Amino acid sequence: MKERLTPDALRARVRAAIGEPDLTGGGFDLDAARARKRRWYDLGLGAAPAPVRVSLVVALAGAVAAVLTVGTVLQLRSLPKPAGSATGPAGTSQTTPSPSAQPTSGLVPLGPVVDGFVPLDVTAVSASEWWVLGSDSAGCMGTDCTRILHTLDGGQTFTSIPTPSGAVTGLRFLNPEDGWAYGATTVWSTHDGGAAWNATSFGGMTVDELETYGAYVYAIVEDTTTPATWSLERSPAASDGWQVVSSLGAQQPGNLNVHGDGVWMSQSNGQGVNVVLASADDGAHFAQSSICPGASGVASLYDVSSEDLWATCAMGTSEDVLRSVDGGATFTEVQTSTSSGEPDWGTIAATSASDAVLAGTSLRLTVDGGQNFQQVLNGYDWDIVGFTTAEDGFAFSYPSSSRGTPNGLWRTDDAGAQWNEVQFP
Amino acid sequence: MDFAAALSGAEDEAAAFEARLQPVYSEAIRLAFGMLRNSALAEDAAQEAALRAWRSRRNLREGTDLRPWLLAIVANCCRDVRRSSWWRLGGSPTPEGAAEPAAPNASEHREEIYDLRNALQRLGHRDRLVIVLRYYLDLSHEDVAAITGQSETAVRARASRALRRLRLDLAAEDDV
Repeated sequence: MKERLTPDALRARVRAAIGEPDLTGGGFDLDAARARKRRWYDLGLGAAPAPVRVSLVVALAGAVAAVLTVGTVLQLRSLPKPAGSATGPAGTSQTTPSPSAQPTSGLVPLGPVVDGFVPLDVTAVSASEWWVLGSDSAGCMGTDCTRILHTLDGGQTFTSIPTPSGAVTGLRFLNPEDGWAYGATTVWSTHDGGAAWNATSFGGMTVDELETYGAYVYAIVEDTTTPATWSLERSPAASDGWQVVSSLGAQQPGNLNVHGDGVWMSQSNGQGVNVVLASADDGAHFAQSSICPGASGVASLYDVSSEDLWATCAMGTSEDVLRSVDGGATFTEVQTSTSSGEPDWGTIAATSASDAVLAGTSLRLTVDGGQNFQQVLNGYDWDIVGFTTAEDGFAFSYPSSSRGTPNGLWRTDDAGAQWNEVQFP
Repeated sequence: MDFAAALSGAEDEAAAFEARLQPVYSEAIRLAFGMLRNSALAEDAAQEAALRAWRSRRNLREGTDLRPWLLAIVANCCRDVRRSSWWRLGGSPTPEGAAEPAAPNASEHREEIYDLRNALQRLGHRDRLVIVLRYYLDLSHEDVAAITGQSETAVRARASRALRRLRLDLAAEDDV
């Protein structure tokens, strides 16, 4: 079709090729648009899982505390700590003891983004719309330093949205309206895109992890009375009504994953016995499968679909990479004790059953189901956050010498082959 | 038009938002249709973009013009659709048939137009966006630059490259 066209002829040809839309609606109606947005999210465009895995959650909790507490030295990547008696999940439903919801008073007001923003957590609902939790600067201390930045253009520009007034350590958004911030003993929910936050406390119990998918938000809640016990609680995403869906016993769970009706976690007794808990009924009942025998813990667990999961095992001085193709019922080693000098705290996130990114002292990509990993980035310590779409994902970098607070948020839009650091104001 | 200032002073903010949006909303839908070639998805993408604009209205900088801002959000929404697992796994709708060619000698070019339609779908997001904005919505290079966040020079260069990829050329040298 190589030919010379006048601009008008070119426009006519492009218009003819594209045609004109066959519109059913009238102009824009704000209320109608709000009602129709569910169809958009039914396409999977808003309910994309952008989970931050347990190691990062622990890391972030430590990192925020490190920011807020002068001189505190924290272990960034705590593996599941040794627990007492081994009690499996009971799979019972009950009303949570005393979660109480109340409007948050004293929101940290919307304000300008100051220089030196330190990112600590990220959550996304699409390639272009995401939120970054962080602190105004590494030297800023106190909850007033906490800030949530929002971007609609894939990180080209950020605006600051109101932030709950409390020690926020994690952030998740299910869609542009419904999101949750959480700290040690409180979950703050918003159903208007962060304009207002409502606090829910759990009777002094600790919120270890939080993930959201579909119609629900889930949390691993720890009753810190001796001996400590854990439970899985959930709330409808569109409203605040937390209920216990499963008691998890006295072994610390971690690596919470949610996808469709599936819920997965790992548990470790700290003595080399590690299991994956897999539920196919929204967490009501769990089946156990052995994983990482002899390892000090399950370093990471990541769901790609209801069938495909990836995991890394902490082997002391190295790590194993495993895959499941049956929803977590069985795991197969695909890379044993990676001989590349990787540490045993490496985390993994995947975009398919064949493509995954392993994060440790470098970012390494596999496109053959874990048989081979190719280094794509190094220079720092790394923690892979996860993928929002089949191409768009995030990772945090940490100074190799003193892993405390992340020194960068990195983004890929080609499934992990190339990464670019997100530039903050 | 300073959109942020117009909204902040309005008694009924929602009504003011809708009123300001109406003149550019059909253009937003056309942009989405040009990118997605499906009317229902285009309407959804435009609505989603408008909702995102509504939610972010208070974070707008002074002097922000609604039109390039909204169209930039629409473009991002279309990118999200095409990147979604739903689309990639075959959920993308069958493109709707285009209208009969509008050019006077259109019947002679029916096959070329069919080829052009397919070639447009194969273009990368940024190339397709520039072509749709420039030759489907008939926007100036300055407007395209404002929407895509590029310089006018970069827009001209990208349009030129995209046209070469489409194996089209322009008689008017100064058009791109």
